[in-house]
Amino acid sequence: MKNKMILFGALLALAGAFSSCEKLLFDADPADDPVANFDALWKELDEGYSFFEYKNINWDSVYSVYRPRVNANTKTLELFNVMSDMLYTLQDGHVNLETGFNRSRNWEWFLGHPDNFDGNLLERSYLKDEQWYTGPLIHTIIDTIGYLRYGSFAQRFSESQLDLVIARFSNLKGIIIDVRSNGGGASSMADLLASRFADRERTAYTFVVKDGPGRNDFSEPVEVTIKPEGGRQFTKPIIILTNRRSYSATTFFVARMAALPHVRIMGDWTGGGAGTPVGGELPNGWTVRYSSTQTFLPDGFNIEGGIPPDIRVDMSEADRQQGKDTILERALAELR
Amino acid sequence: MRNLLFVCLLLLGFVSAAQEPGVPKRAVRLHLGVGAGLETYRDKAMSPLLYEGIQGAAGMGIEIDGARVLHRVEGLFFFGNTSAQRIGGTTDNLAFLLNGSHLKRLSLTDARWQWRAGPAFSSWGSLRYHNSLVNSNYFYDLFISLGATGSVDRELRFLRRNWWAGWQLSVPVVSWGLRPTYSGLVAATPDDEVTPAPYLEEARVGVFGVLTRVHSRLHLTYTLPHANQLSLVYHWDVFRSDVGHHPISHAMNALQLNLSVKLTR
Repeated sequence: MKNKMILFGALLALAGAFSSCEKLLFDADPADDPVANFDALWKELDEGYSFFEYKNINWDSVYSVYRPRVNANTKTLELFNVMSDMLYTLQDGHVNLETGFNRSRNWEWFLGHPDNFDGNLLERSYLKDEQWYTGPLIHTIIDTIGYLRYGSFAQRFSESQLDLVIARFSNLKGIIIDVRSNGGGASSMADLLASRFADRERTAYTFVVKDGPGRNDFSEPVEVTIKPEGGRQFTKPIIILTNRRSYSATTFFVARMAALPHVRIMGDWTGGGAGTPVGGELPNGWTVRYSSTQTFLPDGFNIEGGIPPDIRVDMSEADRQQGKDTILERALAELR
Repeated sequence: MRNLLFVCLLLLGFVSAAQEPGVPKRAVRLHLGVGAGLETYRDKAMSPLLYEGIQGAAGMGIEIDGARVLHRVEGLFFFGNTSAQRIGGTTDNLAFLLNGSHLKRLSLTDARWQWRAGPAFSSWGSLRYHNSLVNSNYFYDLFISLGATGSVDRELRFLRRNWWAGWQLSVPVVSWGLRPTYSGLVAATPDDEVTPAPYLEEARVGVFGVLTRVHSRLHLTYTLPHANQLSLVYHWDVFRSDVGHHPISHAMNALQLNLSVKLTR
């Protein structure tokens, strides 16, 4: 009996010993102090951010400017402000530092540019009671032109909802697709929406993905095509309305549509944001997101800064006073 | 090519197990079990922080116990959440652990101490979804290994009942491992994303370096009428891997209550 108890006890002791010796395989916890967190943030971007060269940013110099502002006694809010200031130098809407109390951001990509969109005016003068809401797709017919408003790629629609809109517009002379102030969302929605306007498969853009810690460690370029899908395509003239708030997935959508010969872009440059953001966590639990890809049009143009319109039009205050949307009026005139 | 070689080795292991000469009077038992585990890991693809959480566990297995050879195949499925030990994010986790062993009795003369050793295969797969990150918020690891295992079992008379207590230790030697890409994104078109090919490019095969792992299985088994069994099993699985661009250290401590039903007369 004694031997059995010893054996049983030994097995239990062995089991207990496991959980303690497993720590040997784990690295030590990272230091959690202001300097360590600042350094972790700088390094995360240093090894993961994709636009240093394109934006001509010397990230080492940025470190030498901001690092002296942090020391062991830096308070939490001060640390957040220094980190935010450092990230602001990247001039990137896809770069954010997220904490429990605040989120850093850079909105320079649309601030200082004309709004070129007035939702109230659109509602009052053009949509009225004639608009259909098919999921997030708002559409109406103005004379012989179809008007489709999609306000956010974060709002998902189904293929059948999109096909309904295409069917409604099938006999019209042209379509206006209004993605002004569409701040982006799911690029899969951009792919789906564009597929109903493609006449055949065409190269839309290429992209590269950060695949190593070096500043120029990128994957081989990957080609993205736009191709017809679904039961029905609309291949008559199309005008896409854009402004500087047409960002991220909206820029990807415009890049796809720009490959089609029957499509023209009208309004202002899109806001860009063509680096797919990824994220990481700092030792203090704050999260950061940053761009980790680059996207190029077939001619090699990097669209991080936006896609230029084929026809540049700004909304005029005089038109606005008369209840007219200058950009929409111009698009209607082009398609009539 | 290395992946193909690894699959061939894996198949050879199965074939050799299947070719073991039949042993008369062997018992075949089906295990069904439930339990809970404590999962701890530091996945540097996701975070520098240590994450930890209680996982639900469900298991199933089959054991063919012959006079000379014990075959044991056991699968465990884990589900739950983890959170950073420091202030940080939370994750939703799914994982499986599949272990198979071909344990040959080392001495048939000692009935009290049953020492066994033999080859083993094992597989670990895990999917973690981080609730605070974007785009690169899925993290995964998949390992398939061939290795060695050994066990010792001893019958006990304890609390006026007959029990078996035993310990099995398994160590992988050759492993195939898959971990996330550098940035968590893959260089593939949207159409390619539905296939595993872009993700499999990160896979590596290696000896020890790909996966440093130990799996320990400690059991206390009570024999029920008709040779069925009820057992309490403690699994300790710990590994470290440098596959991919970011290392991971991982430990699972799981306690499982198993009902084993004897399928043979």
